[in-house]
Amino acid sequence: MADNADLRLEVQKEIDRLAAEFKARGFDNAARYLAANRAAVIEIAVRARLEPKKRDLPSPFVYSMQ
Amino acid sequence: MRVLGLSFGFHDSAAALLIDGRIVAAGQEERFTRIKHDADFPRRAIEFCLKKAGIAITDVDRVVYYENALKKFDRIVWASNVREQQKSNGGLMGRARALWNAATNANDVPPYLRSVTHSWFKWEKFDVVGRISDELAVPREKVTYVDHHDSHLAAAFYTSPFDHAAIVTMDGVGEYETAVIAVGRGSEIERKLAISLPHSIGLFYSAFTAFLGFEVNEGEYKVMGMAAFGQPRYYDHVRKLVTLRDDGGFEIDQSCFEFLAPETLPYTEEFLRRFGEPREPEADFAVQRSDLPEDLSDAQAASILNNSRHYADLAASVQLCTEELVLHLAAKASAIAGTRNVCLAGGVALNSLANGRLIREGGYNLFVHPAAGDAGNAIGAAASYYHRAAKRPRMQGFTSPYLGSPLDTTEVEAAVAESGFDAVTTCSSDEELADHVAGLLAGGAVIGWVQGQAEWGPRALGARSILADATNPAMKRIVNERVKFRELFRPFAPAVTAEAASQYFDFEPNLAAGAPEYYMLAVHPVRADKKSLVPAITHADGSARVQIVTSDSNPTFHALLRAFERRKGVPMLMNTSFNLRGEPMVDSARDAIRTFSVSGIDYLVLGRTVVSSRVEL
Repeated sequence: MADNADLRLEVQKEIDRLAAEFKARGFDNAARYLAANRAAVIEIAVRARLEPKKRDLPSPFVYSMQ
Repeated sequence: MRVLGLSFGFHDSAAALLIDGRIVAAGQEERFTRIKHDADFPRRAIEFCLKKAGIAITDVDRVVYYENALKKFDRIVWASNVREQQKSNGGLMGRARALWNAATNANDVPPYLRSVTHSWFKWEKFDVVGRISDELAVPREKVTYVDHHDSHLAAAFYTSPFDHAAIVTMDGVGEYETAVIAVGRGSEIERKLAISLPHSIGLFYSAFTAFLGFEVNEGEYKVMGMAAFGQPRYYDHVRKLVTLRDDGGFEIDQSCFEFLAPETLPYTEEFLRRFGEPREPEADFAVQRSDLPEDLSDAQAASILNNSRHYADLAASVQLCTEELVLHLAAKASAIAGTRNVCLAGGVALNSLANGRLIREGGYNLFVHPAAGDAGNAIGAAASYYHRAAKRPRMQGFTSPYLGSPLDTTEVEAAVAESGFDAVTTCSSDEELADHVAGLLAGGAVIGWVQGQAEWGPRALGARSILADATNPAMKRIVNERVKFRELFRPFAPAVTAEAASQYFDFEPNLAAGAPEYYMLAVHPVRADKKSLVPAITHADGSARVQIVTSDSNPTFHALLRAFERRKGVPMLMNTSFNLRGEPMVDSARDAIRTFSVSGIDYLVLGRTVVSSRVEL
């Protein structure tokens, strides 16, 4: 749990830094998304970082666009 | 100046090293890891490039990534927003869902965006500069990036032989852009027109690829192969989906496609209403009863034949429409640039049928970057930085596609000794090798041929090839069933001496450096009076994807073709990539022996060493 708390803090900082960078570079869609959905994105990011890094790709078409 | 270009994170990771305007090495990660389309960080490819140049990573002045990750994520959010807006405007259920979400603040991140966000955090795609800096232990200041289509533009133009050319890039999607028209002069590239998502030729073709039961980013070649068996009976239906604009641009009717935020399939219910049921992956395909098992009932056979005809006709229609799109873009680009020199890159530039028409009907002097897809952007990123940011003089154009791993003679000896194959012949010269192997080929053998440095790009060009007799009508089936284990409808390509090419194929070979036929990137008709002479490489519609070989471009391979001509009267061989179905091309001697030992290849040639799979009595 302690590890998760550290990870959450780290992810929060990363998202805030990213939101600022998106804004500074004029990428407003992404900046607004991160700002408006900060809590949800933190949850998504924490879960993603806790997952083992094995390939679990969606369909190749979907993946090719990401 | 030493610039390392990198492409990774999506598909076909690669690295390329540019030193003082010369491409010293370039390699695709899949060749080293043996994972087809490996998208991971290209550690092994980087190691190879540095080793080839004899330098350390600390000697590299700049590392350049091939696209703008943050801009790409901005596009993903934009596309998701547009799609959600469309849904909420699109009927009672959509509006109800939007109202519910607004009222409850539930599901505020749509599923597609949630999935992408998850993937980007998991694979650390946001901070690419940091990732590269960490992986390579280089300061962040040494790492930079260029836009996706700027990488394609640079790969297309700076590696071409032209000082002045029109440039067209076409792919699925980069950040926002899907196609760009530009003009190249010397060290400058000036953009003239950009097409952005959702209008995309690459995604248009890929949607039909998926519908026809093939894997996207892999099966597009199969659509081209299947098209030869059909008639463009559905052309009008497919063509209706595309609007060609006077400015050179185009639009794709979005009612049939899901290009903005695809959660699963790239096509819609409307698409299915127009084109019917999608083809099952791996479904039987046959255009004549004799291609099907004899024990099949007449009803079953009729069903397969009817379905096959339907899907082949659709493939032919999509292919024809795509060719028109490519011709349209090239014509506009050429007019804008005021030159017939045209450079192409982006995955769509691997559509060799379209390339053939550009050469024959368009009359263009065409250059196609051999690794036209995203792997080629490793070179493109390095070249773009070198010219546009570092302002260096024009780099040396492409002189050879053999930029990959060299065949290590020490490894050959060790690998052959370890393999247990004891029927080994070693030739003392290239002439002796050519004569010996030509004799085996003329006798009906299938040969695994590994020489020199591996090819850059998806085509085997006589460095990591499987070769066979092009005059043997049974050879297509033999190689397909015994070696490649792939669909029988897929054609095999010829390698022919440049001096004889126009005798067999209906085009005038351009022997200038960089002609697409050196890289097997254009399809041309086999001359009517020659089709029966070379049945193994003549496709169902009488065409072939030609590779021309000169004594300069590949002396050993050229000598083999000439030696084969002395035996069979035809300076041409069937040439297909040395790999099994679903695997990347072999790279090292050990890879080659592994593939050789599990396939029906008769002889393996590693440099001047010939290994036989047959028990010699």
